[in-house]
Amino acid sequence: MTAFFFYLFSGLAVLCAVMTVTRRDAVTSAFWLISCFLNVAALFAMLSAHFMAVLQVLIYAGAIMVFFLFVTMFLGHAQRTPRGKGLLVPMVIIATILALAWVMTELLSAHREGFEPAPDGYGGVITVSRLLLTDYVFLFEMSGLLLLVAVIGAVFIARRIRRQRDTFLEGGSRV
Amino acid sequence: VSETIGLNHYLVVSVLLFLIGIAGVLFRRNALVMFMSIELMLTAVNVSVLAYSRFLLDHTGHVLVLLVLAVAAAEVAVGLAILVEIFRKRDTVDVDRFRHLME
Repeated sequence: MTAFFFYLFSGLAVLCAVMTVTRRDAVTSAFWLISCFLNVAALFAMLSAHFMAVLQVLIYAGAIMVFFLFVTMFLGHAQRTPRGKGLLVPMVIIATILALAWVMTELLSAHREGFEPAPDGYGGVITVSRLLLTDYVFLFEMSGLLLLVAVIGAVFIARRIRRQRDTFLEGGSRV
Repeated sequence: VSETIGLNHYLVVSVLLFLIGIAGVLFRRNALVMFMSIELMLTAVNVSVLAYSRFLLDHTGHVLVLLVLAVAAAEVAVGLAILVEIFRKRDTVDVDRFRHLME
């Protein structure tokens, strides 16, 4: 039963990833990527990483992808760039498929045993956050600082655009 | 299907997702889709880190995945802000036309 769900979720995740990369329209790509992230969250849950599965849904599929969709729709999805031609692309694809076949046969023939049973509370909020707030508290604070700096940077860029537009309006030179 | 699912199965899924992400960055010219492919690659790495964490029954990988989430959020915020400004100046998100740094 575990194997069935693993193949279901991983197959769907890979399928959605392929659709993300191959769709011409960026909005369609974003929706396929959300679907891929939800399937990956299911894989996280199967790895007993329950807290990370919740965060994957909330942060990745929720916050980050909503932001992506916002910007994609704002920029307009009219830019359908022509497909590149040449010999490079098919050669790289063939090389990738060969390398992939080798990696998969190596990986799947080496060890076939399953995981040991996880102890109680493995991957839960309590255990992960206890580790995060004791041993790795410096990394935790630094990631908070990083997010603060990123927010300030994004606001700074947006504010500079606003100021340029205001000077255009005052000068009367806006088209 | 009666086989047990172990570390290697998750590593194969991780490799597949990562290669698809690489293909997206290399072959797509739309900057937004390239960003999405980078997110896909980060998620693929998260899958392998969590699989190893489960294999070793160690929680350190969970902390690493949390940091990757924070860095990805910061990267998307700044990157998309830069992209919006480039779009306002150049009116395109095609990376082949982002040549004004070279001129």
